Amino acid sequence: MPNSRPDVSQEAEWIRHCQSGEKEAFAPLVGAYQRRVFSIVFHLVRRRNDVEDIVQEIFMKAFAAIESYNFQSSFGTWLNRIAVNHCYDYLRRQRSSRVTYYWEMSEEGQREIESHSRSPEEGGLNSEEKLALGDLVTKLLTRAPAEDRVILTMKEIEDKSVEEISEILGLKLSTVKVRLHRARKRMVKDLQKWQEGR
Amino acid sequence: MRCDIVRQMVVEEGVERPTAIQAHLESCSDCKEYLRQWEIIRAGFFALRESEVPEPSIGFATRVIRRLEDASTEIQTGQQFVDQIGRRFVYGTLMVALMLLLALVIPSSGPFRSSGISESILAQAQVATLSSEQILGVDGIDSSNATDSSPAPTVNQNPGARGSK
Repeated sequence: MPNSRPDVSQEAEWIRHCQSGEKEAFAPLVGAYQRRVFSIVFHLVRRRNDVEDIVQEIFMKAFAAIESYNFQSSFGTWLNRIAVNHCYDYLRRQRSSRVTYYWEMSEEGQREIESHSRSPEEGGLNSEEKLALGDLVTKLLTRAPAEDRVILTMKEIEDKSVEEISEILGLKLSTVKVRLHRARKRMVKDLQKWQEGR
Repeated sequence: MRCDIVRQMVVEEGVERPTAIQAHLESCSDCKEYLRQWEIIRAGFFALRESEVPEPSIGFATRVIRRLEDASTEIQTGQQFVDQIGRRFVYGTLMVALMLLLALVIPSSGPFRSSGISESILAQAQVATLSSEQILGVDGIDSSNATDSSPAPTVNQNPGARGSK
């Protein structure tokens, strides 16, 4: 199955076939966008075992809603929006059922994180340090509200521009900037809180 | 310069820090600490950016299409079930409504109703009352005493006639 971006007119034709109910025409679209959706979902959810199921659900949702796609934005952006919204709901559900916080962790667990959070120099991190810091940020992200997690992931991990984020989330540029600043502040505060509470 | 503005600006990547911000950072330990913390977090984000994204397994698209087909079959089966149940429910409701309508429309007496029996019982009771009146007389005086002086009144000769009025 192809994974590169298809020709626009060819893509439009597949979409129209899907809109008339042809499920088979959806297969090339899935093939073309699956990697992209996998990346978004993995970065947002960070549960390797759940990614494939979640991506399947996203494509199911996309097919169910494909009649509403009006070719105004690119199909990729439209699909991204569905993926992000789906992950957002997933994270909200997960958060409500999660009970483990940093200050509720065992001393051993806290010491482990402490050893991981040495101040790094960008680019000069060895693989072990990268793993440790990645783990630290993953834990901070897991604790963050779903809204912060989505916006920070898109900006800092997916490396999307503020304009792209505003298009995907359907928000004004200024709103995205404010939310981004608020999310970063909360994350730093959370890290400080944890370090103070050690 | 306000700390909040400085903090908003220092976290932006690839933006050269103006001298005013640099000066603020040197004089404000809180902002300096904020920047230090953010750099730890950003390094973590960089590490996550490089982390290997899981690949879709072979035949992923085919499985999605199969799942779509299964889902539409399930929906059809579900709709058939709902249709059947719905139809039965409608028929049942119609039957009950018809029964109620018949109960209201059919007259309270006649060949389709048994309530005529209660009326005949009422008539029998009236006959019984009349016969007791016949024994006691119209004014409640014992008729056996009255026969001594005068013949029995003619009105009592046909007791059923009063009851039929």
